[in-house]
Amino acid sequence: MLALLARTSEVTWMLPGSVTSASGGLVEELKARLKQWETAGRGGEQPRVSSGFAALDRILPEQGFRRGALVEWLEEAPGSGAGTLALSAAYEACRQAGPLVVIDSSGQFYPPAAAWAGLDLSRLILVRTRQPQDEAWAWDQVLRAAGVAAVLGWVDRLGSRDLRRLQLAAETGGVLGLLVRPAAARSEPCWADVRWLVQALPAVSERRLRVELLRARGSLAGVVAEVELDHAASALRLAPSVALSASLRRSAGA
Amino acid sequence: VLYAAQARGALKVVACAEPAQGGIYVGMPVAEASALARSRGKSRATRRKTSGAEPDLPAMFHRYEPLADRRALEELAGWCEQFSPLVGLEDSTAPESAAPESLLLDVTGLAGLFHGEAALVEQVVRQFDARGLGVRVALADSVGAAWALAHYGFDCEDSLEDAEKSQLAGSRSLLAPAGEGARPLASLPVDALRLTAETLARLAELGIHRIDQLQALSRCGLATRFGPEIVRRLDQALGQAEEVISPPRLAPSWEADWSLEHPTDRQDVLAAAIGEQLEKLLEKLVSRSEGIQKLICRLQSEQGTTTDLTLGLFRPSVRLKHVMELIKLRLENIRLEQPIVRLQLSITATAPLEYEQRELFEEISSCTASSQDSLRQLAGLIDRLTSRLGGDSVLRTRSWPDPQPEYAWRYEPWIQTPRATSAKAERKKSLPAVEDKKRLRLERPLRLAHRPIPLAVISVVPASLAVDGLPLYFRLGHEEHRIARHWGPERIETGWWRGRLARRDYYRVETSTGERYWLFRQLQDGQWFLHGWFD
Repeated sequence: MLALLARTSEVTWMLPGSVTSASGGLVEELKARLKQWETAGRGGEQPRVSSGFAALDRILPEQGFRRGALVEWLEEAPGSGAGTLALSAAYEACRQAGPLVVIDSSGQFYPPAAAWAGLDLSRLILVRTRQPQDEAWAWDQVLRAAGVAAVLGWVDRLGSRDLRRLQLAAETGGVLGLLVRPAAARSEPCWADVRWLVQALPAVSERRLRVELLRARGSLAGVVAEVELDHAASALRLAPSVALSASLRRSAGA
Repeated sequence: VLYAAQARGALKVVACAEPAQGGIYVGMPVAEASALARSRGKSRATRRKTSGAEPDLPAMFHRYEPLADRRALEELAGWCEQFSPLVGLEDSTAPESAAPESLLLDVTGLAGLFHGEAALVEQVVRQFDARGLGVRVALADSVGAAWALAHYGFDCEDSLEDAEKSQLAGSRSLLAPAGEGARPLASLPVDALRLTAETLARLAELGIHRIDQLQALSRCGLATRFGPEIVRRLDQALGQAEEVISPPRLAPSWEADWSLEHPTDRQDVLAAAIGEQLEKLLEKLVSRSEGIQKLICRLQSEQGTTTDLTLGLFRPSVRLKHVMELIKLRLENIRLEQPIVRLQLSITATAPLEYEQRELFEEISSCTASSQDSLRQLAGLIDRLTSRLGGDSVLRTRSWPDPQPEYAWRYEPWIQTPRATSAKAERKKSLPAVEDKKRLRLERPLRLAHRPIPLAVISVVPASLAVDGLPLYFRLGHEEHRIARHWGPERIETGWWRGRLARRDYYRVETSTGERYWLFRQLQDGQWFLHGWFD
């Protein structure tokens, strides 16, 4: 069955025009059914994307994020760690499927931190936008693209109407949208499924963040969790691939 | 009716679709022929307006253009590859003849695929008919025999009673029985042997009109009297000499040129016109199972100014809808000052469809169980993003062996020309992997300032004396931050080869409110900078 499906989609892609449109519907239908079977095997529900932190998953109504949802991280000040939390969710999303797209309107995204979070940089698509309308358009396009696992970006120029459009786009494409926004956005209407407020806390030993759940569908707002960002822990994530390439090198050298 | 300039500038008829009608024959002066045609009332009011030296002729008179003719025939040869992998023009075996008019198809061993030779011939005829072309088809044991039969076999009934003949909608086909060698040719005129006019004239003088008469003569005698050509041609016709069909080596030209009847600056009209041209180009590409990788669309205005839309695709594509979507994205972004009168499309890079797809996607797909469909969507996404935002905005990242943080990562467009891709792959291989790992162990901020931001600092000791150690406060914008904790320093001294020596001590600092920044002190002058945020 699977082999047959793959072959069908390949053929429709090869042929131009009417053939594609005629059998496209069938392929979609079969694919949807296949997905049903797959998820049924895993226990019915569509798998949730963990936030990467048990403390946060606990206060989320569905113990994670739904694919096709928008998640907002409001940060009090730059450097407060909201981006790291978003990156952690992106890691979880990409671990299951597809590449990560980073939409960078400020041009400040620096890749090694993403590698620290465990992300495979060879599967990262960095999109730089200059105009706000380009930024909104790029978000819309990426959220609609089913091949993408998650999209992450710092958003401070998009209006509420743009965000409403993005929410619809995410639902269409089933892509997890992770938006880091300034805390000033708190007063704006929320189109995201989940909205967090992230504040840095003076550290005792490890880096600590106070994360407040401002909004989530089907949950009480105002629940607060505290998260410790353990630098050593994220280094552990890096470890398997490093170990693998080291052993490969050894065998190649021997 | 076709005419061409012959010796001494006289215009003569060289071909005529229905010679019997109106008494026009090949070689007739054009003036005479056109007068004939007019007198028959054929031309009616449809006169072509011609300028300069062109005579005023009825509409059905066209100048014979050998080059255009040849090109059309070559195109037809390409189209005929659906019947046989080996299609050649007539002159591919005899370069001396200037104007080819036949196509040669090698169908050895192919009849089975078409359920027999008769069915094959019938299909060829039908396909040509669908294109509105009448053909004379002959299938025989050798190229020479097939040529002879196609040209003369239909006019000569007597000796070919056992050959299958059929007629369909203006086309005629003929199937010579296999393995009979010379017999079907025996009663054909010697003209069927593809000889030069000179040789034919001399044969006629000797009273030799038919091939069987020629066969009766001795080979050696023929060769000494008429030269080696006649023997070669005879052998080729009889299948005793090898004749190889070589397909025309078309330098594939994927271009379309279209003049708009009504100049327009409306995007939807332009897009429709482009789409129409593109569809034709794609049709040709599909038959070669190649896809567009790079496309240039040039729009020319009335004043002659041109606008180029260059389109690079992440994955070669032949899907009209996808490519048109990208073109429309580009059209939206440009401003047309003047109406467009002409558009030219040229596909400058193509690539095999399946192969390219695998190679490019290995990196993305290797770790995931994504289906073909989502990969296609991903390629489409990259194409669309690149199309609107530009190639330098849709990037992949790669670490670079440079210790200075702002140079330690390179950004490369996802869509590259094939040459650049391979060069890059080479470089990638040469990069030591160990370098990557070591550098990834260093903690780096998630956001890096474009340029280090100079900071005003407040320190208990004067800056000039503070050889090491951090200040108490730093000021960023209007806010003052107290440094509560810090990690470092990490010293980076590099960049001398750039002529800008960078000597820096980097610190990760946490302010009293918990935010983390990446600061450095320039060792030359003790100036502090903010370089990043641990966001």
